Amino acid sequence: MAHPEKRAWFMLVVIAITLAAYFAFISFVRFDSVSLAVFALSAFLGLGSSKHRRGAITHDERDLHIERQALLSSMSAFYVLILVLSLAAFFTYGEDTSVRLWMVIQIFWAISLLTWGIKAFITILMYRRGAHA
Amino acid sequence: MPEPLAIKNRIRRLRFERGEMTQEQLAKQAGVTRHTIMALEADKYLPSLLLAFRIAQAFGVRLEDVFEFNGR
Repeated sequence: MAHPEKRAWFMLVVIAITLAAYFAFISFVRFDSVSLAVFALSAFLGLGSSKHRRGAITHDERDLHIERQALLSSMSAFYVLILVLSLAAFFTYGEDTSVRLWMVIQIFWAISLLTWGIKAFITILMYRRGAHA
Repeated sequence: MPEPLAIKNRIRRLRFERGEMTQEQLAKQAGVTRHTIMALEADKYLPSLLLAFRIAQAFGVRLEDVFEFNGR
């Protein structure tokens, strides 16, 4: 398995653990700002990319191509999600409303996690099914 | 089902003709990872022109001796 593919699997595991912890947590404290604490687990997304053999080639044009495609797709999904949520909120609650800050932060984190998840999923898919420059 | 690639390659055959050259050796000479050589041999990746030339150079043959365009 290629190094970036391993990293993508690692990211999916971290996201799954974070979401599992989040839903386990809110089942106890309900929707509360305290439940945002579990999103700190997503900091582990930053790990898992430093392990490589000295002098060995770890990335090449194929890895770069897949990385770009996955990033582009996930960013597109990010903008679509933001747009859909904004419009849904507007049409549901109208233009004159207020929401709690922790709710906004919670939605932002959820969308961010989803974006990273989509990127990891597409990365794995492209390594499995093939990618062409 | 993925569409078959328009460009086929003879990398696997050329490796064996070069005294069982390993994927790792070829990858090192071409400046890519072994996974990319594996993907090329499995027709899961179309290389850039630069990589195609590097692979041909590693085998000491012309580009068209490694890659074949099937005309589609």
